[in-house]
Amino acid sequence: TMATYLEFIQQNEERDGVRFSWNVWPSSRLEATRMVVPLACLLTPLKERPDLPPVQYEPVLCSRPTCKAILNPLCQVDYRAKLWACNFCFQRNQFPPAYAGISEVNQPAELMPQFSTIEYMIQRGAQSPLIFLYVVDTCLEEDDLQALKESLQMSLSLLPPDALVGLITFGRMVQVHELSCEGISKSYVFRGTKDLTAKQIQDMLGLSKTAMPMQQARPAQPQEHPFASSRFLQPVHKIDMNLTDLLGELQRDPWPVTQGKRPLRSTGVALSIAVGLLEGTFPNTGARIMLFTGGPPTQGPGMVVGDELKVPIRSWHDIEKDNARFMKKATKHYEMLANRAATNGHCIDIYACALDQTGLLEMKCCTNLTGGHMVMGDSFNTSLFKQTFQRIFSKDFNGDFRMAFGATLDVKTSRELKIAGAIGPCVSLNVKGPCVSENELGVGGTSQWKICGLDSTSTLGIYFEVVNQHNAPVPQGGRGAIQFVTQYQHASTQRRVRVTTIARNWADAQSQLRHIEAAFDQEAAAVLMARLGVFRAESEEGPDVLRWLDRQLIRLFMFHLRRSPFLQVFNNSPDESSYYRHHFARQDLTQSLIMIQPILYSYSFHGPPEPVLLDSSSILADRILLMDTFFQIVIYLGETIAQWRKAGYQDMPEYENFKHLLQAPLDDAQEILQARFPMPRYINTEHGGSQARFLLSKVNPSQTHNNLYAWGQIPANTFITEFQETGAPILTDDVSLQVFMDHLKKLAVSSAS
Amino acid sequence: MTHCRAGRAEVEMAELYVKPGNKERGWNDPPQFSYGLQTHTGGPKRTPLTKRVAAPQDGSPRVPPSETSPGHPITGPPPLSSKALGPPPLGNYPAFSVEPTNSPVTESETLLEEVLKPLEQALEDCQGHTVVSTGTRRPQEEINSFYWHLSGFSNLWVKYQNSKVKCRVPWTEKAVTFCVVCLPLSTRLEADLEGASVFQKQVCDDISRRLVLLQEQWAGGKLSTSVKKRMALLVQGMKLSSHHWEAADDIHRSLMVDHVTEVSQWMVGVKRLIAEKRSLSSSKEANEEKSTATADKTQIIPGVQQAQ
Repeated sequence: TMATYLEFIQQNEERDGVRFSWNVWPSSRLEATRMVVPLACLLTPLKERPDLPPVQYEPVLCSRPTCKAILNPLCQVDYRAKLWACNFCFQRNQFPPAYAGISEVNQPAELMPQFSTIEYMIQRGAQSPLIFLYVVDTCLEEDDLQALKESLQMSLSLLPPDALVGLITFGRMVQVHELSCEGISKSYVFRGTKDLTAKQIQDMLGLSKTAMPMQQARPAQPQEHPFASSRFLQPVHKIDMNLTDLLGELQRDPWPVTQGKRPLRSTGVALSIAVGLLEGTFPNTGARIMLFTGGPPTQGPGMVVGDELKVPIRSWHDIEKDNARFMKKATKHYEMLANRAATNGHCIDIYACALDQTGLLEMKCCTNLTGGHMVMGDSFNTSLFKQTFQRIFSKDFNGDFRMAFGATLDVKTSRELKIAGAIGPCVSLNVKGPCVSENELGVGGTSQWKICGLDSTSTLGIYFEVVNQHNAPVPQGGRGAIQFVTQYQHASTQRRVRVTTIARNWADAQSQLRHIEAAFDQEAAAVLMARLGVFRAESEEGPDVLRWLDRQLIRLFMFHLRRSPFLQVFNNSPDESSYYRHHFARQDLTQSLIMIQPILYSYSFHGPPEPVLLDSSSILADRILLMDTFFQIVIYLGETIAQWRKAGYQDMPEYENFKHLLQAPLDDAQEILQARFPMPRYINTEHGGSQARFLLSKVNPSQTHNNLYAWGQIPANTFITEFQETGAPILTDDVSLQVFMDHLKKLAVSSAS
Repeated sequence: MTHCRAGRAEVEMAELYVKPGNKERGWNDPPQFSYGLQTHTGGPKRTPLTKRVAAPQDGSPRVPPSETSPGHPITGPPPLSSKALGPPPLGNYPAFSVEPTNSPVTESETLLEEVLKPLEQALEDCQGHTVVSTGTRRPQEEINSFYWHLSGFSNLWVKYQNSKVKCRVPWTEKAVTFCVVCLPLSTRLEADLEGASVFQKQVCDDISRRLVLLQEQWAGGKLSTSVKKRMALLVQGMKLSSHHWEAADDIHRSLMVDHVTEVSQWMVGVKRLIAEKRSLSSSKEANEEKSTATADKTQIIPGVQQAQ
């Protein structure tokens, strides 16, 4: 049955974009709480489905006002009476007139079992163009500014021609640029020190009188947007030439920066104006605010550090000592902006390129609450930034942009289940209802969330609670069901609704425990638990989270997670931790697993590349290793391989096989690099190389300087000669997996007795 | 239309390359993939590396398998001193199936010939396609202008010298190439000016300003071979019919992505030109369709409407 469950899990992921921790559900609350891992799933709402073209009609809804579930293959249908029974609330519903012709042999797609996931295209309602508002820091080095300007110019060629685009630049002041075809550039200048309300910003930009919310009062002629906003947000195809010039002429912030000072950077006000501008002109319309910044905010609301260089930006140490002066206030400012943007369906991206920290810790809510991208690089003049930025505009198999906007995710459950919460790039819509649990896991207390920006990989963890009482058993063969309804604005600007309805068997945990165990998905469970851990780490103190995790007893993955940058802040700046956690909380299962436990492949003459244990014993002299940690791709040549390469064997015709061996991991790495978002760092190193530390820091230290001579079956005196065959010792004080497991076993036994 | 596919293939060949990242500005900066590699990866994917080895249940490290596997020809113990290094084993690397696809960029100058050949090919295709039964009809004037372009290359020089676009270099192959690329763009502009007028003067001025920039940079030897080559192909795409706007637009995007520093100043003019021509020709087509439709009403010839 193992193979069949694996297939079942894989099929469900491919078809429905879901992975459940448990695929047979314990049928009572009591039994469920005994399971360490909660009933939960990873949901990729817009998982790419090339084989699923949207149907061109609207979904049929259950008529009960508190339910409104969508007609699906699990519903009972009375074809003669033209009635269907909702499988969630059991309401009997009349089919709409358009379904008059249905019969057993003439079914609409949404009733067929293979359409457990279906997408509807909504025809009514006006379509609005996509909106991109660039917010550009000009306190950059010349080289960086030039590279950024070119990337922005390039992006005008990648944007959909009828997308609206706007430009705000900032340094000590903030400038909102009017875009016109007349070639006269005009801008509105704001002080970077004073926070302004949305109303004030709209008044100052002259938006108030003519502002017209898109949704309510749409003008009859859709050709032009006759409001004032058109001065700041114009179709790309109209202003591309002028905007190219405007970008080309951008200068570094003209305010002098004296010795020992940081430039005055008004990021907080610039973002506030961007949010206010869109709020006043295009509420509830898909829009991206794209912030490009090369350093920390240093003045006004949202400042993270002062302009004195001698006072460094906050570290974890400062935060622990409650010595981060600006952190709380700045975080509050950006949280306020993020919530406003989310309310209006706008997402905020942050592209931060600098060698030092830029304040991602304080600003992270802007991306995390709105589904925006967070990209961290060293400089705008790097391939890492340039290509990551290009990939924002990549297209799918239909030629549509891989981005969707303004989604609401609505979750419905059968009566035996309640919704505990969600973890991912979303905000709560605070919709209480009968299927909302009082016990929260992640963002709870609601059955609906808003995801302002998402793509085909954006993944949420959704947590449930079994509420069925032990003395009210589910009938034999009974199934529980969950429906996920995602309404969103497709990149083609259409409104669409994706509906996924799934069902799983209930089982009695006492008599059918084996069924439940067999249907356990360890990978999904590991990621779902890790998300909970990271969610807690964001709100609690580090050691508590580790203790909590240790109690959860998921082997292996948890070992690596425990050591990962998602929970350990040691050696990472607060910005780096925020960055890693940002990506961890939104990637799909495969990518999340790579982040928790990096993948290690070994290349040798003995056969095709094979996966090997992430362990120091895998580091061998005659092997090449390829490690993927999601954020880094590392190629490591073993000692002999490195020496052969140094000796130039790859250039000799008779050793072409060696050349191919050297090439194979490079080609594999290239394939990963081409597909990954964001672009990872690429480390090409060898035995003894200084960069080998990236590999050595990830592998399980089975042999360390502490146990080197005492380890395993190999006598200490033979160790030196055997050394290359048995792997490399790692200098570390971290415990190895073995020690960790031993410790966990003791814990488990002691808590059970 | 085969010429276009050939053109695309050629572009793709030229576009498939990887540049090293900027190691000076970013530590371990990844390599940079060309637009072609990023967007048109049609080839068979390599096996995704997503497998893991299950850890031993007791957590003890496994015995590494490599040295115990029989019959593999690593000679001698791994050297601790470099002189003890044996050679790598001979034979095939087992996982190797195809040559690595690093096709080097050919560094040849874009020649008139290279532009002309596809045109000749296109002409043949065109002649084939003028038969209505093939389903695609071309407006006669477009075909005429195509003939004009082909036969008129020698006349171009004259026209070029008389045009407001001045070139400072003597009559060389380079200049001809420039002629072939820039002039069609500017004549197109003139034609549009005379023609259907959707163009405001401001926009026209903007475009011509950029074409002058292009001309100056080309003539001044500031453009790389790759850019010139792709521009020649882009112009191919613009010349014939609306079917190739997408190809021309794609080449424009590839140039913006791969060579933004070189082309950003003037490319947006070419981009606009493609867009304007495209909408012009689509509205023209729409008009024609309308008139065909009205003609159909009186004549009723079945199947004609399928021609679109």
